Amino acid sequence: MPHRNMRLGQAMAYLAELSPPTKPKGGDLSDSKVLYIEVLEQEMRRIREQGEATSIIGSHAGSCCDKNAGIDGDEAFFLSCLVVGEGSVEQSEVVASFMEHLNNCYACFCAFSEVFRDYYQQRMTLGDKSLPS
Amino acid sequence: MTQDRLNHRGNRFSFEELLTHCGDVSSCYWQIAWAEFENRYDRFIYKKIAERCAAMRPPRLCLQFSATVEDILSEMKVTLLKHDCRALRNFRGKHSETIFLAWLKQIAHRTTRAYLQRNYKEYFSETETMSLDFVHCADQQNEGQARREAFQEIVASLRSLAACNARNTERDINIFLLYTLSEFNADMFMSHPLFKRIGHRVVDNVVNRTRDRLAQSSDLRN
Repeated sequence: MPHRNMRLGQAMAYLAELSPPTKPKGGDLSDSKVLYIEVLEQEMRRIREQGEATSIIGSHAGSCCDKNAGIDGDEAFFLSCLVVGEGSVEQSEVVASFMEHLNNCYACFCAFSEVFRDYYQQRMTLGDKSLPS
Repeated sequence: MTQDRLNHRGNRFSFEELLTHCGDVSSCYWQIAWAEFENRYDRFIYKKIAERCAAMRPPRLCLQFSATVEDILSEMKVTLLKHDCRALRNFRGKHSETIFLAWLKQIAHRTTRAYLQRNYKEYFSETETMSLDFVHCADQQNEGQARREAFQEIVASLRSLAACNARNTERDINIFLLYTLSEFNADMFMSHPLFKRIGHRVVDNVVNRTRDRLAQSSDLRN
């Protein structure tokens, strides 16, 4: 369910900074953007609680996107990256095989870098103190 | 100034300086830059044109192969020089020589194809005739294609150069691609959920080591 005026990477930046458990209450966010972030947060919590992150990332590893859906617009995949990044799940194997897929699939590589560029820029805008200077 | 002395490879300009001066006819270094451009890239372009000629194999070409390749090389340079070097001036991949080489290769192939179609009409159907306007436009489509080709060539080269027991080959290739093609910087890696544990030094080391490997591989091929 993509938002018309908010890119996935931007919404993920709010999630990374404000959740859990705080919900985003940015004064500059429209109701629909807040709703979008809340939906993503619920989805991310579900992925975290059910331990699906590695299997979702792993589903994109190995095979080519000519036969399977790519990561472009796949919210569950990008949320899984955030969950894996929290460090609560073992990531080495599945991330390594996903890296191989990214190196084989230019479309997924572009989608991956776009989303995380948005994510980084939004986090910089939000002034995350945890980012390295 | 950097222009007044040669670097360790015998070049007067860095890659970015070279493209900037070649694309700026008002630059006092324009002629010197073009001389260096020819010194650095003529052999590469010649090779790509010769490969394309050999692949297309029109009749009688073998009788005048070198002359034909030279003609196409000249035609390609005229194309690059047109409109005060607009094609080079508008080239937006100035940060990466790999992207530039992929771009040059694509122009070499298309110039070759257009030349052969024009001079061997009886062999190639007229419906296939194509224009060279693509070079003069601010060609996003071509740049996208060049980036895709650069992506594939980098991955293939790095996999072939990797030691068979290297543990992080795919991760390192990915870091290099994100750094060079997507312009990720060290901070972006540190904020990235899948890379944030690796540290600044790893990114720097991977990028520098990979650049050296590609440069050595390129020197060997040339």
